[in-house]
Amino acid sequence: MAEMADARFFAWTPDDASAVIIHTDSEAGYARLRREYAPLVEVPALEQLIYVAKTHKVESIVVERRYIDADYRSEHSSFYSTTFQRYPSVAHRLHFFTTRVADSLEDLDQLQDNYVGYSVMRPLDTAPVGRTMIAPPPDIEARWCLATDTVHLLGWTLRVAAVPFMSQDEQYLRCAHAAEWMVLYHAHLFHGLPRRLPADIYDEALGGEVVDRQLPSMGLSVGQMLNSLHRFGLSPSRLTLPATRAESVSLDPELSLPGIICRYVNSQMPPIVLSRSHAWVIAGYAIEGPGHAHDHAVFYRHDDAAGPYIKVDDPWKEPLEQHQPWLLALPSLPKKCYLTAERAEAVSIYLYEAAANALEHALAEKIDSFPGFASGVPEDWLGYRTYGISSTLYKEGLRTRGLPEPIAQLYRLANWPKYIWVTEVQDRDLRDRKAPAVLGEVILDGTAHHLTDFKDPAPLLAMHIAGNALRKSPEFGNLQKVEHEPWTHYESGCPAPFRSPPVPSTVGT
Amino acid sequence: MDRAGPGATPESGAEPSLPASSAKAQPRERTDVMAADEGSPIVINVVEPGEPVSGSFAAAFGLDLDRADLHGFHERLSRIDESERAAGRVAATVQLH
Repeated sequence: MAEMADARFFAWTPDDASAVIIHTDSEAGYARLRREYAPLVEVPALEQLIYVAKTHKVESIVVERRYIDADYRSEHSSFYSTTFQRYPSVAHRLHFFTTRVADSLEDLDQLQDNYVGYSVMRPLDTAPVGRTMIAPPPDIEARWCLATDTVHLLGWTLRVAAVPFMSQDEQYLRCAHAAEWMVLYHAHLFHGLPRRLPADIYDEALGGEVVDRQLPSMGLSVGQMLNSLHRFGLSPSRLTLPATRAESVSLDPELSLPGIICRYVNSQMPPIVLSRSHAWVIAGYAIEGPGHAHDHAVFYRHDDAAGPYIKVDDPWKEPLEQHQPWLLALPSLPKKCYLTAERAEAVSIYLYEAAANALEHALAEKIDSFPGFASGVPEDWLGYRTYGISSTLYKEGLRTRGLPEPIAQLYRLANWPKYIWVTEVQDRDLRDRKAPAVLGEVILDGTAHHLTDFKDPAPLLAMHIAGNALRKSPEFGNLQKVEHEPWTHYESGCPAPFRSPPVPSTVGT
Repeated sequence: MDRAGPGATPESGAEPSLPASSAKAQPRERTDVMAADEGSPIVINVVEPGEPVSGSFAAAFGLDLDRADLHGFHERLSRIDESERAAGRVAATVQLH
């Protein structure tokens, strides 16, 4: 065994070649990947990575065999350099292209449209899959927590939009560490937080309630996760997930399982889900039919032990024990987002219904068959979608959503905090048909009191219902009102896109 | 080569430099940064869309937030609070690996 390990050590970077190309237009290319990176046992995360590559119809993989990966180097420095057996300090990085890459490796900037991401391979036989940014399978129409990463390959700059993935190594990093890494790398790329490396996560997670051996790591408690995520500049929340589907259906929408998970995916705040023994990250969700979310919602998880983008058809019928049951959700809010999505939605729905009652007669003249709210809960044709978003990003998106320009301008000129909660009111039928479906929204201050009541006007920044919009100034409470006609439905401003967004053109170096 | 002397910076020319702390404390002349001429300060009026309205947000939208609880929203918020407390109880029993 030791001889084999030594041989692996010397074979890891066997020559000075800048890169090699593995062509995968036949199965032989993938067989080579398995021989190289999983020589002892089948590695589920590598198999799932290969599956995702195949969905993209990858034809060539460019392999850098002396790649200094900050994340693996961090693990090596803190742990793998301390073992008697030697481990290489460099990693391999695989780049996936959906076209055949020429052996000359020239003009890679022409291949941006064919670039679907990268995966770092660690020299760890049973846990090779390190930092991975590969685009979601193209045949899945889902909302994703996508972040865009910039890659420098042999002097060319490439970009990929993906949900970050990394597997645990079973010694230094466990599932909870890996889940935190995925959330933090996404927060780095999307929200601009500092980048955190595995050793940073390991060290910060030593705070909180330590319940077992920490080196080699036997796992983390929830307290350790909350403590470390907080110290990294996030504000993790903690929510009970309903134990059964029937319980979930019976709950208020803001506490149902699809409600909780989808709200934070919508907000680009990928939630960590915990069972009694395992942690994973929700990368996206899809609604696979019209009607109620409980009937058609499916989820896609990054399970560090199993790989990226794994479909979960039914959270209450998990086939494997380690996923049973879905106990808690740990969404990580930006630190200056004090109000939770659940409370923001409940307050916004109240305000919206109260306003719709008041405006019922005016609205009835604008919208055919407007059902009115006076008799109680809104009719089924209305749905709510809540998301947190930076006010800058929200304002940037106004130009392309079809919102009447006077209302868009009312929002652009507003003084708003960095993060806002937006609860959109949507026509379900239009939404199901992928047509512009929004007929109004309530916008709340993300830094509002976390126990705010719906009768507290302080968090309310703006509201719009079918052409009637109102905005409040922060210091003097001045109100500015826009009444606009003709009015029409417009696109959602949800920052979690369907599929992969278009990637900007490559910039050659 | 004509050198300005130890501590000189491109901005300061031949003037002796100050220690960093005291250099930082020197305010620039206000006129240097505020105006290139002696005219009145420039005032830009941004034209706000829509109409200013008086009263509270609720009144402007016709909301009566003091009326009886609508659709049991008090209880709804209480259930959110209870969910968070329950999560704390569950969390104490979980270890993740």
